[in-house]
Amino acid sequence: MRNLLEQIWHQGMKLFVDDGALAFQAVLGVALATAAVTLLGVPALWAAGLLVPTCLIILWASVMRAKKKS
Amino acid sequence: MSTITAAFLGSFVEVVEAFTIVLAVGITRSWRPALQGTALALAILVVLVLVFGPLFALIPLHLMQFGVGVLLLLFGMRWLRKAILRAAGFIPLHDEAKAFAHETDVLQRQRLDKRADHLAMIAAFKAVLLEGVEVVFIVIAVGTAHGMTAYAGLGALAAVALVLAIGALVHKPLTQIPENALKLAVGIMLTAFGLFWIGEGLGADWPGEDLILCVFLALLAGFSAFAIKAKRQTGGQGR
Repeated sequence: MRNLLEQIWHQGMKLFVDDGALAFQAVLGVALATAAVTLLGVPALWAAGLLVPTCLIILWASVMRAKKKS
Repeated sequence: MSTITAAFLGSFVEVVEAFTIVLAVGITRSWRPALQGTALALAILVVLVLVFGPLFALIPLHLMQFGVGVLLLLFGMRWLRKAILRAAGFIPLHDEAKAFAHETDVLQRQRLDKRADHLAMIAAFKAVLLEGVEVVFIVIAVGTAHGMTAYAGLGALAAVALVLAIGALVHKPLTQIPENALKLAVGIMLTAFGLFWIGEGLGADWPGEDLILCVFLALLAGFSAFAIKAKRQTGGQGR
C-alpha cells in the first residue's frame, strides 16, 4: 500500500516536473513577470507577452541539453 | 472548442495507455480482477473530481486563472519537451505492444502466486488510477479556468468511449495510434493555454482576446518543428 501511495505521489510530481531545471526556470520566469507587474508597475500585457519568448528559450535550452536515452 | 479538443486529445493518450494494461490483465488473468481494479480506480477518480472540482469555485477568478496557468505551463512544457525528444529520436517512442508484452510477462510469472487475482487487480487499479489522475488534471485545468469543466469532461468521456469502442473491436493493444503526434499536439495546446491563463491572471488584456491562443498555437507548433529538426541534427549529443 505504501509502495502504491509512493508511486501515486511520484506520478503526481512527474505530471509537472521531468527536467527539474526546466520547471525551475519556468516558475522563475513566471515569478519575475509577476514581480514586474505587481512591484514595478510594468503593464501586465508586456510582462505576459515577454513570458512567451522566455518560455520558448527555456524549453529550447532543455531540449538541447537532453542526452539520448536507449 | 479548443477546451474540448485539448481535453479529448490529452485524455485519449492517457486512456490508451491504461487500456493496454487493463487488456493485458483481462486476457492473461481474467476479466474479473481487471474490471474490479478499473472500477475501484474510477471510483477514486470520481471522488477526486467531486472533492477538488467545487473547491476551485471558491478561489477568486484571477488567482485561479494564474494558478491553473502556471500548472498548465509546467504540464504542457513537460509534454512538449518529451514529444520533441521522442520525435527527434532521443527518447524511445512509447510502445503499447511492448507495454502489453511486459505486463503480460509479469502476470504470467505471478500466475502460481496465491494472490494472483489480487495482484492482477492491483495492476489494473494502478494503471487506471495513475493515468486517470492526469486525465482529471487536464479536465479540471483546461475546463475550470474557462468555466467549461462540463465541456472538458465531455471531451474526456468521448476519448474514453472511443478507446473502449476501438478496443472492443480490435481486442488487442492500440498500437496504431500515433501517440507521439497526439502528445506533441496536446503539449502545444496545454502550453498555449498556460501562457494565456497566466496573462489573464496577471490582468493582461490579450489583443484579440481568445484569438491570441491561435497565435500561441502557431508559434509553439513552429517552434516544435524547428526544435525537432535542430535536435535531430545534433545526433545524440546533449549540449
